[in-house]
Amino acid sequence: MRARALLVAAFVFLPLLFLPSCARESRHESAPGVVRIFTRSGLVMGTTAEIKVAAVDSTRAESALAAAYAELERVEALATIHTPESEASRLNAAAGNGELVETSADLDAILTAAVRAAEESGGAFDPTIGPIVRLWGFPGRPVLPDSAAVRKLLPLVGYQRLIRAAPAEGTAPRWRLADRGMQIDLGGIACGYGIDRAAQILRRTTPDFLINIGGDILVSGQRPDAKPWTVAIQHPRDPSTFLMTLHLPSGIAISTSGDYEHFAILNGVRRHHILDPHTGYPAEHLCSVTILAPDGVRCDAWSKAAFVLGPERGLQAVEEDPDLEGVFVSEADGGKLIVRETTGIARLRSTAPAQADRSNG
Amino acid sequence: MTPLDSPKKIWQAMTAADRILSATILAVSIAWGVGAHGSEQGAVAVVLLGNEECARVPLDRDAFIPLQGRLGPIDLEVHGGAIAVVRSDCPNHVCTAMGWKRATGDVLACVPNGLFVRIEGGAAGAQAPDAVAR
Repeated sequence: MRARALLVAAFVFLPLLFLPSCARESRHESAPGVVRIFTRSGLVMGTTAEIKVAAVDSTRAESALAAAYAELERVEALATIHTPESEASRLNAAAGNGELVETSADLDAILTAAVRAAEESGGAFDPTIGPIVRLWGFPGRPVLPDSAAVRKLLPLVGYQRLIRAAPAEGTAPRWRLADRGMQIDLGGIACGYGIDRAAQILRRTTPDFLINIGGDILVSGQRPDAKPWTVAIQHPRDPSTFLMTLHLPSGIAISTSGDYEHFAILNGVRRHHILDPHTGYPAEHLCSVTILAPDGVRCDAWSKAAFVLGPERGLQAVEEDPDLEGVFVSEADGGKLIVRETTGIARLRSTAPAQADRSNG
Repeated sequence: MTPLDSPKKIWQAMTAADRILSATILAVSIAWGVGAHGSEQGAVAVVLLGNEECARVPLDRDAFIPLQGRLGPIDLEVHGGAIAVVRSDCPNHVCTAMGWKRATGDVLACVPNGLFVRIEGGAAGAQAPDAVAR
């Protein structure tokens, strides 16, 4: 009887050794002194998030990852317009009533950066595009709006009427939207700000990390093998391959805006989510734009602005700005891709563009 | 004499039902063990629900994984070395439209349902970029 029990028990428990684990990842158990990558993944700011930290101490790394992730959630909570109690929603709710709305230092920084990007791009990026975005229904269920409705709402778009009142000593910054019906939509910049804030948190623990929020990325330091972090640019027409791969130096953010991420076929026409604030319709002429910048907030905003500006004006604007680099992809007749890039991209690139013509700006 | 140093006597002491049960468990163990060892070198889908890891699924074995998301049922399927969201009770079905993913670094996500899937550990992992700007 005892033999039978042992035999059966052995056969029952043997397979358990091979079962796939449902527990936390064990790769975090590293040998002393060895730099390893610690990763935290999940959903935040309405998209996927992945933060990688190169560190020795697993406890400190996990703590830093948790703090950075919490910071992203905090920024999301104040900048979202999808909950009525957020700071951004309170500013929208007060539009046109003359009230100056007190904001936190965080929303003040986001709005200041947004207005700066709008001024720099001549309104190609505009944080007051909210009414048009809502009309189109992005990112949820897009609809083709009536052209009269677009014309009616377009006058509500205008960053010049997003006004900051300089705070008196010891008081909070205050903002207002000048006209009733105006709405800010910070979807094109809050993610970049969140990345910058999370980077500040991580730098207290380690100089070596990578933050990736839905494809908006910031790298700092280097990988555990002492090589630069590598970031590939999504091919805009073939999701199974990359346009190119870049080796990024420390302290660089990279963001891509493309017509392939959020789109819908409306009345037989492909309509994507990057709307031109001047027309109220999706910007044409480009498949994707990738921008590199020293910080996430500027990178995020400029990837949208450059997409709206198009291959010529966008490339010129980015080339003339010493802080920015860019890769612009457009589609010629017959589906052939044309890749244009600023002069600084070549020294970062490790692979040639796939199936495309290339030119420098 | 210890019980295990005489397999012949053990076998003789077992009833027919014991022998059938033992043989079945042994066959399943060997099949599962071989399969699991084969997946160690292959890609694995790390599945998170509500930002908590709930499963690691080897992609070298076809499987159907029913899950319960924030909004309702959400089904993953592994087939031919790739993984996809094949059903989700969510408003826009962006997740099911993401198709089949097989490369290290690829992700699947259903934001409304709180699902995140990341593929890691594949043979191409060492050459894969650290992130993809998309």
